[in-house]
Amino acid sequence: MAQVLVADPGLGSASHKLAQIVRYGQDQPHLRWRLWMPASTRLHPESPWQALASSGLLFAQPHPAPALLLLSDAADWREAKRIYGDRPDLPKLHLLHGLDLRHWGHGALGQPAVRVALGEGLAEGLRRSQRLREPLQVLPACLDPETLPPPLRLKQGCLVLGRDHPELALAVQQGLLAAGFSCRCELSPWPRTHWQQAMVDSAVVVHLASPDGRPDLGQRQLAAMAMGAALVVDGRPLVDGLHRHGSNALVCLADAAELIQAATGLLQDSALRARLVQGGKAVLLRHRTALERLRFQEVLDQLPSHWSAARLAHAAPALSPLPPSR
Amino acid sequence: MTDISSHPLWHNTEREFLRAERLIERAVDQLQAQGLQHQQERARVGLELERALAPIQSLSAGLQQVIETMAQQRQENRLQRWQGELQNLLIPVDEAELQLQELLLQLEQPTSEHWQGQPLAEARPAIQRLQLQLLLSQRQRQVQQLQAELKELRLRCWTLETSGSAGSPQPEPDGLQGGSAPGPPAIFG
Repeated sequence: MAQVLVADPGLGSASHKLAQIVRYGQDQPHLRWRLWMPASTRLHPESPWQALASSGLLFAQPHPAPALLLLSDAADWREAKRIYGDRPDLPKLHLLHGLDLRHWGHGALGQPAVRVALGEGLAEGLRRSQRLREPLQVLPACLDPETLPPPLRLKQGCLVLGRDHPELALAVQQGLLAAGFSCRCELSPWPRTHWQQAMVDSAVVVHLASPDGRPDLGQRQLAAMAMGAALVVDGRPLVDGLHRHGSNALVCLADAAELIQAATGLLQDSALRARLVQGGKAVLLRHRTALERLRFQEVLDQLPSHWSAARLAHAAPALSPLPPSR
Repeated sequence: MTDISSHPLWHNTEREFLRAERLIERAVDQLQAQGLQHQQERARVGLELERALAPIQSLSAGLQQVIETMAQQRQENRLQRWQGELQNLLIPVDEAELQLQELLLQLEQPTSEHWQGQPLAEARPAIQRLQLQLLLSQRQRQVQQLQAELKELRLRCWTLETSGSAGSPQPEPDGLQGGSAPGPPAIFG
């Protein structure tokens, strides 16, 4: 029995991804799954956990002796300690979707666990921080276009996704409006359905990367590619090799003038836009969730050896971690 | 008086210079031949790379088509797994294709400013001009040496001719200063 602890069920991309990964796990014939959430939890109708809960996987009581404990953030580790106490012999699978304390606080790193990073960008950050003792498994950034709203045939205007850089996003929007193009802009985090709907009729999407320490899961960029929008990204270290300048995106500096110029150029040049959209579709084909599913199932298949390696890593003297990156 | 051009040192120098010229010519010819060979070799490697790329591109397109077809159908778990495996297979194929394309791109870049296109044919006049300038300056130096030698010989002759007149003051070697005594003509300043 695999017990999934969901202490803080959210609505964002990370929660969607985690729920999806639990669904992949259900295909393993030798492992049964159950979810636990705090009794006070009221799931939002759009919650990604809703489908799992309604299929009878959600239990009010945690399993007393699970064969595997699946956790994803610090709140889960806190609950694991409360429910099961310090049990270093209980196999744990830690799905990491961020770099900061919210993902590895409450003693998560002090206990052995099979650590799995969601996305190569996050894995790279975790390797750099040298906080983990265990070998790191990585799941690729993946998305199926079928899970998105169908895009409109006639697309126009620009969408600026800049929840982490509202000033820059606003400057880009103002520049595009001044140039006579329609432009919408995310200045505070939008719900998943909101930005997906905004992409439906956008010809160009400008995606401003999350700041260091907050790697995203590549979902927005993949969604833009899936919905046939030409992508402009600011040139931070690229997530999972999703972008190649001129092939499936325009990669610019995080500078308003340069981003405006790139977006304007794309809005005016339909041939270039079509080329990037085609490149995006090729990338998307390589990032379908079948690959993510396969990788996760491989992790589960090799769980005994990964778990042994994790325990062995904790038997060795601890590494001195680098100071937290800002 | 002997003519400069008949002096043995002049002849020796001229011979040496001609020999040097011939050596330079030969070296330039060899370089030209090597450059041509190098270009041919690059073209051959480029062709081989293009040949290697073709099956990889075809494999990549085939895999993409299969993945696309599978994705369009409602899939069982097993098919999903196969699709994932195909995506997995596509990764090294993509990497190989990218590397070959980068190699091809690098191969098409000129190796240096002076060796692109038909470099030696274009650079030949400039090389010859440089060779001639070198030769000219070397010959000028040689002429100056001969002039100095000639001057010394004339001085010696004049000393021998005037040694009979005892007590007469010795003129300055170039005969331009000191009294009215005739000195050797100063033809080379």
